[in-house]
Amino acid sequence: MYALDAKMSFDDNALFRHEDIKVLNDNSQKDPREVAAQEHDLSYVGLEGNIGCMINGAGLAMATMDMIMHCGGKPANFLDIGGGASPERVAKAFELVLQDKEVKAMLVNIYAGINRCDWIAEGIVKAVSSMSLSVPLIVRLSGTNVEKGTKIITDSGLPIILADTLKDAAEKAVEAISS
Amino acid sequence: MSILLNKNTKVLIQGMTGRIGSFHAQEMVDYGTNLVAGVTPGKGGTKHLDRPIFNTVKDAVNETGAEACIIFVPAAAAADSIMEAADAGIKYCVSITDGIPAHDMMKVKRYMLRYKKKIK
Repeated sequence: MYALDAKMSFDDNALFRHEDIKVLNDNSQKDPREVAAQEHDLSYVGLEGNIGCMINGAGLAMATMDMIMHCGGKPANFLDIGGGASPERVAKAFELVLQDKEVKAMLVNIYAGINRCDWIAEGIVKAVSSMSLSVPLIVRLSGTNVEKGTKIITDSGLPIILADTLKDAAEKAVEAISS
Repeated sequence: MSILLNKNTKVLIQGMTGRIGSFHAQEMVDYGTNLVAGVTPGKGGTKHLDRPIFNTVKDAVNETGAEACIIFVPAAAAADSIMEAADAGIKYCVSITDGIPAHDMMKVKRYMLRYKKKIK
């Protein structure tokens, strides 16, 4: 018996202590959207739909994607922004999702625990103000500093659609595309 | 499911003096949590948010009798912090850290076998 091939996976979370394995990475073999995401340490998976997603927590991201499909839409990507996301990180994530030309609406769903709604809101406002946003943006915030975050969004005067619940956000996103 | 913690439970925070730890420590204090100490190696003997900071969890538990802890430590050291807490006699530990290497958590799971749950 001969071993003709082997497949190995490496825990991305442990690469920091394996420099010799880290250098084996070959970005030419990866989806360019995912390469860009990795450069900013963002957890992103490209999909084929048209509703761009920015969510915190892999579980919530999956639930949101399910809800989008349930409401008749299709997610363009999976993106878990992680905990404690700074305004700069949020802005980068935003830009990344919108680089996908297929995106016709953007949905941000944040259930903030370690994250803070005011930081998320600042990042969104920063991102939207520095680019010409051509797609509808639906934002649902809840959790830590939700009042501060909501105020930052409404005070910005930007055309951002606010949603209350996960279902409300998904419905508004799907509606925004069809209108 | 039985109640594990109540408003009197003494809580300590590992990583309390860091940016995220400080923010949440204040939130916990505002909420009324019985926060008794913080642990940050190297900052033992200082005070933060009016609570004593210790170098090790063992020191903190000996001085304050803390039974529960929450960990705000970066991924590279988080698993170690969990095991340190268990070793110091902490009964309930919450680690909020994302991205702890899988192998580290396997070690933690194995390590926890030393601490059999006592049924009272």
